[in-house]
Amino acid sequence: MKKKKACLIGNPNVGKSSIFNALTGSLQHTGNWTGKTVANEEGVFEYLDTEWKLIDLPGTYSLIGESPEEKIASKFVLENEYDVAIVVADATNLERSIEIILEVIDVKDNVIVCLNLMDEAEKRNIMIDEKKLAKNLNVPIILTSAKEKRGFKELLDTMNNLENVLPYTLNHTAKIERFCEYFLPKMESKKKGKAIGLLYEENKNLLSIEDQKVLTFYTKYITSKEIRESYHENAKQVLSGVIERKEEKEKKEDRFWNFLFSNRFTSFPVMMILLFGILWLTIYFSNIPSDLLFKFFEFLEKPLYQMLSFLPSFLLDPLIYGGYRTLYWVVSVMTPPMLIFFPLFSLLEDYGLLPRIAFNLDKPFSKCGSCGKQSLTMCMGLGCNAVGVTGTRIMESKKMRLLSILTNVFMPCNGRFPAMICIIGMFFISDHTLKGSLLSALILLTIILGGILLTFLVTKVLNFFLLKQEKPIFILELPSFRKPKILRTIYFSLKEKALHVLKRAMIVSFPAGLFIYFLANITISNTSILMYLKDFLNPLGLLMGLDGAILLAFLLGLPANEIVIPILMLIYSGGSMLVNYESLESLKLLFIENHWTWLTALNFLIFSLSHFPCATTLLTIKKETNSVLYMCLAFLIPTLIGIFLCFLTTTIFHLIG
Amino acid sequence: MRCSELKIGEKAIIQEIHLEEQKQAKLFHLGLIEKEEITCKFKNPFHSPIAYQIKGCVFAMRKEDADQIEVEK
Repeated sequence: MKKKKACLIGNPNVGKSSIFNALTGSLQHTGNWTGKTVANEEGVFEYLDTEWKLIDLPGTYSLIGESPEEKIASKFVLENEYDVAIVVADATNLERSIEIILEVIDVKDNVIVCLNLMDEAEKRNIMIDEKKLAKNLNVPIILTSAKEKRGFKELLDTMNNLENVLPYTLNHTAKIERFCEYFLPKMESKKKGKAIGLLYEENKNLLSIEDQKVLTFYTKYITSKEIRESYHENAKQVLSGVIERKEEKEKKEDRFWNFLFSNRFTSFPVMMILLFGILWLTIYFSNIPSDLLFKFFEFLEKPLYQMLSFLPSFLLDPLIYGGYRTLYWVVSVMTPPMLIFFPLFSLLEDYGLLPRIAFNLDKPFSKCGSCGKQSLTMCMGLGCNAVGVTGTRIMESKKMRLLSILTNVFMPCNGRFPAMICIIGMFFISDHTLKGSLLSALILLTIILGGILLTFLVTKVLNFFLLKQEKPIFILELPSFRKPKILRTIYFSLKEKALHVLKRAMIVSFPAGLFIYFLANITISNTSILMYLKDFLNPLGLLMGLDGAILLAFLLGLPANEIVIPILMLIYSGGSMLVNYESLESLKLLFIENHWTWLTALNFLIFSLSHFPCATTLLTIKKETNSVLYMCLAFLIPTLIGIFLCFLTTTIFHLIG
Repeated sequence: MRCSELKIGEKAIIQEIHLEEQKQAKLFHLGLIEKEEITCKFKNPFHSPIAYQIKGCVFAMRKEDADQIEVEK
C-alpha cells in the first residue's frame, strides 16, 4: 500500500471541516461561523491502493499575514513535505477564495481545488464556469457538496491519480519577479511562491549570510501590500469571465432575521427569548426522564447489593453507598438536560445565529475593552467552560483573549445547570406543571443574566489593570443562514459534546463518591475527617449564609461541578447514606433538616454561579495562557466575588430582619 | 463621503482607505479594495458595528473604521 500525505487549505467557514469529516470519517464539529479549526487536525484513511494522511489546516484567507491561523497555515504549506494540496473554495464567494488558491498554486504543484457550496451558489443566482476556471488555473476542479455528499468519490479518485500537474504560472510585478530570479536558484526550487515566502515567513536559516543581507534589503523594498496586490492582479486575470452574478435575491429568512436583529425594539428581546426558550425546553422536558432514571437506578440498587454480597462489607458499603449512589445521582440529574440543551444549542449555532449575537453585543463589550466575539466564547462556556476557554483563540488580541478567559466562568456551564435547576425546583418553584417550568426557566435566565452582568463588570475592571494595547481592527463575518441538517446536528452534538461531558462526569463521580465515603467513615477520636473539615469551614459558610457542608461540597466538587449536590447529600447524611432519595421532596426534607431556608438556596445559586472553575477548566487555562498566575487569578476572582455577594445578601437579609 | 454614512441598502464604490497597513491587510481579504462596490446591509441598535456586503461576503466592521474609508455613490 502506498502512503501519501495531503493537506486541506481554505478560507474559514467554507466547509473544510465537513470535507475532512467526510473523507476521514472523523467527527470534528462543524459550525456556521468563522474560526472553528484553530489548530491542525490529522486523520488517516484508506482509498483503493493508497493510505492517506490528511491534515486539516486552520481556515485562513491568505498565507501572507500575521494572525496565528495564517502563520500555522503558511508554515505548513511552505515547509512541510506533502503529496497533494487540496484547496477548498467557496462557490458563493469565489473572488475571495481565489487569493489563497493562487498563493498555494504559486508554492506547490499537484493542487486540487474543491469548489464547495455550489448548490448554495446556484440558489443565490451565482453562475460559475468551472471548466473555464480549470483551464485558466490548469488544475483539477471538483464540485463538492458536503451537504449532499456529492463529489467525494471524484475527489478521492483525483487524489489517487494526481501526478505532476503543473498549474498556471503567476506573473508578478517586475520587482517581485526580480526578487524571485535571485532567490529561486539558491533555493533549488522553481516555485516563485517559495521565494516570496521568504519575505513573510521567518525561515531564513537556510540562506547564506550574504543572501540574508539581500533579503533584508528586499523585505523593506517589497511591502506585503505589494505582494497582496500582485496576487490580486493575477486573481482578476484568472477569474475573468468565470463568474456571473445576477442581481442577488436576498433570502427571505435572511431578511427576516436581519430585520429582527437590527431593529432597536426587537434585537435584545429576540436574543432573550431564544435563550429563555432553550432553558425552558431543557427544564420542561428533563423532569420526567430524570425521575424515571432515578427510580430505575434505585430499583437496581438492592439486586446489585445482593449480587456483590460476597464482598466484605467494608468494601461493599463504600462501593454501593458511596460510589454507586453518587454515580446514579449524577447520571439521572445530568443526562436529560444535557441531551436537550446541547442539541438545541448546536442547532442555533449551525443555523448561523451566534455571529449575529456577537454583532449586536460588540458595542457594550468594546466599552469594556473587549469585543463582540467574547459573546461567542461565552456561549461556548454555557456548554462547558473548558471549551469556552479554548474558544477564546478567536479573539483578536492577547489582552482581549485574557479578559475572556478570566471571565468565562461566570457563564454557568452544563455541569452546574442541573444542580441549579434542582435547587430552584426544591426551594422556589415546586410544581412540575407548565407554569412551574416557565417560572424555573425565568429564574435560571435571571441567573445567567446576572452572570452576563458580572462578566461585563469584571471585564471592565480587569481591562483597567491590564496593559493598554493597540486595538486591532474588529471584523466579524456574518454568514448567511444555512438550514442545519437537523438529525445530523443532533446526532453529532449528542455524540461529541453531551456524551463527552457525561462520560467525564461519570468517571469523576464514582471515585469521588468512594473518596468522600471514606472521608466520612474514617474517624479520629470519634469524629470523621469529613466532619472536621466541615466544622473548619462552618464559620465562613455561616457568614455567607451557607454552611460548612456546602462550602466543603463545592471544594470537593473541584474535579467536576456535577457532583456538588451528591457530596452534599453524603455529608448531611453523615456519610452513611442511609436515607433513600425517592424524589426531590425527600431531598428537600434532608436539606431543611440541615437548616436550609430560601436564603441558603439563593446563596447556593449565587455561589454556584460565581466560584472557582472546575479542575479541567483550570488546567485548560494554564495550558492556554501558559501561566500559573492567570490560573490562580481565574480561581480567585470569581471565588472572592462569590463570597462577597453571598455575604452581601446575607447581611442585607439580616438587617431587614 | 464616508463609508459609515451609507444608509441601509445603499451602494457605493470604494475610493480611498485611510487605515494602517495591518488593518488594510485584514480588509483586503474581505475584498475591501479600492474600486470595488460596497453595500450597507444592516445596522444594530448601537449603530456600530455596521454590516456591509462586498461581492458574496457579508461582514461587520466598527463605525470608527468605516469612518476611515472613503466611498462615492
